[in-house]
Amino acid sequence: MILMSAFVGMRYYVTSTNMDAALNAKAELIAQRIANAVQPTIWNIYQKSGERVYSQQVTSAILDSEFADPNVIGVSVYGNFGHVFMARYKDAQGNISDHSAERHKRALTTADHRSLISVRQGVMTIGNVLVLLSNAPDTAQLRRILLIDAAQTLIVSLCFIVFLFYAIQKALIRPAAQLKAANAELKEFSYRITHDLRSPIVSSLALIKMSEKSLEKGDTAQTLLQIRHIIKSLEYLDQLNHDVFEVLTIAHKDEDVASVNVEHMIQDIIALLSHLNSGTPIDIRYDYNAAAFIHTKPERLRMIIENLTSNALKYKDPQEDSPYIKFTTRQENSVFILEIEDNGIGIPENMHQHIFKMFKRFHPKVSFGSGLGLYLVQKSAHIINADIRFIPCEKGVKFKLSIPLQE
Amino acid sequence: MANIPTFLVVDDDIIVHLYYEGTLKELGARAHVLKAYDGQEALEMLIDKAAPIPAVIFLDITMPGLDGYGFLEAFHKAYPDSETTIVMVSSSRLEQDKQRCKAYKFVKEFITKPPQAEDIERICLMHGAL
Repeated sequence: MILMSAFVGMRYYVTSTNMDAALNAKAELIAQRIANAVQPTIWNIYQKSGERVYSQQVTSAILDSEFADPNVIGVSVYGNFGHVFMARYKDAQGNISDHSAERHKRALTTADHRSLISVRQGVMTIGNVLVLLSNAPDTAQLRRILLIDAAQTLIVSLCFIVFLFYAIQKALIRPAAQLKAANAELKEFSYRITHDLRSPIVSSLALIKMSEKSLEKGDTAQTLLQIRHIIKSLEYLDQLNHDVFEVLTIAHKDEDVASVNVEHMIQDIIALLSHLNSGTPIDIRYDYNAAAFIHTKPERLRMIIENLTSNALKYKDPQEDSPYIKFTTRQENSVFILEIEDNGIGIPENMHQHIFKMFKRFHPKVSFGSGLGLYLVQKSAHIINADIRFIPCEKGVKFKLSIPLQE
Repeated sequence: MANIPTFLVVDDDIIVHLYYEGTLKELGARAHVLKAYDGQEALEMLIDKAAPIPAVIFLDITMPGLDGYGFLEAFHKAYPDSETTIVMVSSSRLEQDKQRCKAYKFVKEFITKPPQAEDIERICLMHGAL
């Protein structure tokens, strides 16, 4: 903005200087033209000597034509005796009037440029022409131009400032906000890790002491029950350890894109998790409407499908006569869609906004997960440039994974 | 039966519930023990007029759904004049967690897990369960 203002100022100075020079030249030109025009008349008077009355027609014809120029504010023609033969002055309102000493003085004061030219006959000076110019009309024009330039500078500067603001925001503020959010997440992560890692250890220790007492009393049934809970608690600890490791390493895992048969991958996962499909067996339904092969990072995709499938198996509704999981694929434009839905116990509505957050568990009585599964699902989806959404439904849950197809 | 106090245990860990059950049984405590697995379930129990008003609430901090802090705030708003004692029982050893809980007048103790049998015995004695 300072640079642009400096350029505007420089342009104003140069234009103003040029204008002054042009007006000086113009004054001389007009004076010379008048001198040439009145020369015969002055010469005639000069020859007659005594006759000092000047023709009004000649005065009007010559002077009026020159006053058409907006810069001309006064013209005086002097005879060979230095007396005024004719003169005209233009006041601020544009009225043209004849010679008077007062008008002459005012015009001299107001004029910015003067030019005095001799009227000659051969080498003899027989009179003079004084032309007075004002640069007021040009100054007004120059000011208008300056105002436009200033407005232009201001608008361009404002645009530049807005651009600069967004550029800085993109370059610094947004990353800073993201860093702040990441820091808050890390803080929460550290807090929860200290709690969640300690919790199963503390519970197991307490139960071991209780089972010791039960054993001393010979209460085998109670001891067995307690041992089973200890095992569950330690299994949870193992799962937590695994998930925490995943969280810590997920962003740094190098994995190449490969061709993946999604339908085969789902089959493998179902087989792998078959131990969770106990009690009333869950009906596995498929509705495949897209090509089975996609290019993506296989392990990331596996983690997503495995987590969502194991959740569907773990959180089935015991009251439901026909529990099911349904895998649907389709292609929408150049996006591969995989939907995994079930009619299980679902997720409480007030928890929907926290679904993908760390350490969020929704059904502690049913299964004691680490609360990191869906967080990892979302992180994995981002790594493969996919979008994962929870679709609220009347019963159970539905997740929609959208993977942009690539060559 | 009228003199038997009610204890409400709010914890998402089933083992914690088993631990309280076993310890109270071992101590020979006479108390009604209610179980809730998160703050929301505990609040619903309190709203249910049929359930007896607990003399003591053993409350965990980190729970799914409504956590211990959320429960404390909701309890403070719903029962500002309650005489119920809340005993915080958490795995946290952080001073900031203790201070945050103790800002509520009905939080009388902050115990780091696991609660010792002596702690439970003392609380039972204070509230007429022993």
